[in-house]
Amino acid sequence: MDPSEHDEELVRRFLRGDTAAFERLVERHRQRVYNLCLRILGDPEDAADAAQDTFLSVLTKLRQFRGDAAFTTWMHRVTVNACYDLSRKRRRQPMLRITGDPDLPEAELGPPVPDPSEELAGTHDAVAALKEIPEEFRVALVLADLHDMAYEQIAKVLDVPIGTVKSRVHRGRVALARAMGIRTREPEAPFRASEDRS
Amino acid sequence: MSHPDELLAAYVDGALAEGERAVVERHLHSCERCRGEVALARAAREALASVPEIPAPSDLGAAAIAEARRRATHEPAPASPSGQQPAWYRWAGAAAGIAAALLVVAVVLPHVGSGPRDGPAAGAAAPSVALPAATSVEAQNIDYDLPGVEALATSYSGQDRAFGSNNQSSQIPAAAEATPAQRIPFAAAVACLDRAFTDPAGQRGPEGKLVRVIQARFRGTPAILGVYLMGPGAGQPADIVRVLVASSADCSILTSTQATT
Repeated sequence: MDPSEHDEELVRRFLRGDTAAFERLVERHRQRVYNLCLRILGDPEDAADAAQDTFLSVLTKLRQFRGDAAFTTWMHRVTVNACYDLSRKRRRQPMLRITGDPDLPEAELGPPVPDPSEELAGTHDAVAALKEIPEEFRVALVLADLHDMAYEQIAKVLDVPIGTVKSRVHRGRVALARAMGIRTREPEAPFRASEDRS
Repeated sequence: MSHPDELLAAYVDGALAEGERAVVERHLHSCERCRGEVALARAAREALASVPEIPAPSDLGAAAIAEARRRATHEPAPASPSGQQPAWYRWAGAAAGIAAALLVVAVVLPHVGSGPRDGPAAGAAAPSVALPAATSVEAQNIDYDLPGVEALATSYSGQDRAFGSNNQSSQIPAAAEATPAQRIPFAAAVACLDRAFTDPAGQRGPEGKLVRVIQARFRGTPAILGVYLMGPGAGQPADIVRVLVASSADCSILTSTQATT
């Protein structure tokens, strides 16, 4: 890659007033940020909201970016935080999730919105099962197995020890397989979410 | 029997060095539980490999780009972090910062340890990095409403990053005449906030650094207010202030709000 196109150089150019450099950053990371949000939150609309929040946060916080961590590490951290924020907001506002209003005619609700993340046959199970495992496991698993991020980098993103990351990834994989209904001939130990602390 | 949980993820990835792999395989030979988990983990990893990437909406990030353009046309270009401004300019900025910090110390120190304050916004006026973790409960004769809680959050914001400054104080309700209920111990107040705002899985309490705990009322209900500062991690300074409000009677959630700096 042309050195002038490296993330860190784009950040420097933006901080000198080059708006096009910020647009380039957004364009480059849009897909990755959206998919990270989608797999953490499990809902396309929430993912779009969290991703929008992520880029607004990145814009606001870029002046605080010191460059002592890689930009991608920092941006993943901002993304995960945006997901956590939205997830908490959703848990606190259950009434805002419209699941059907008995007083509203069916037609006015519109057709159901398909979940593009579940359209492909054969992948529904893993995608659906991701939503069922504890959030901390899910985040580590998505970063490791869907975003191919090294455990060391995940530890920096999540600001936890690397041993905790490894443990969360392993426990997350086991939990995911069980949520998918996969069984082995080996006897299985009971699921213990508390074991990921290290 | 202890289990090498931290090695099993890398073992399933096929990324262990020879020595560690031998340790794991010896363990697996005698541990049915880990053999079962490794089989499950492999199946999960394989299933995840087929999860597709979904195209992002084409307008994703448009709001941030529009905001960046708006700022570019309304604000002068910020100084380069690489230090293109003259040395005297940087030193002048540093001197101004030191002067501001001294002023903060002069304003805040006389109030430290003076007990309950008259208003919530008369609080810890210091940059986020200098704000210590809360160690006591601040009793206030104040009945907050939602705008009052929001004003408390935004009082920790500001471009000068002087968290807790007075610039929003006009929206915070005034102190009432009545004296507060019996003082709640600090540990009990923190436990109540933790209990109210721990996620349903019971795995994580409120995130961020708890810098202030206030005992007051919210819409007439005896309440505990916790002020938390959160940063993006990776060594970056706090940039979000969150105020969580729980009932001191049953530790239920009353409200919460947040502001960015």
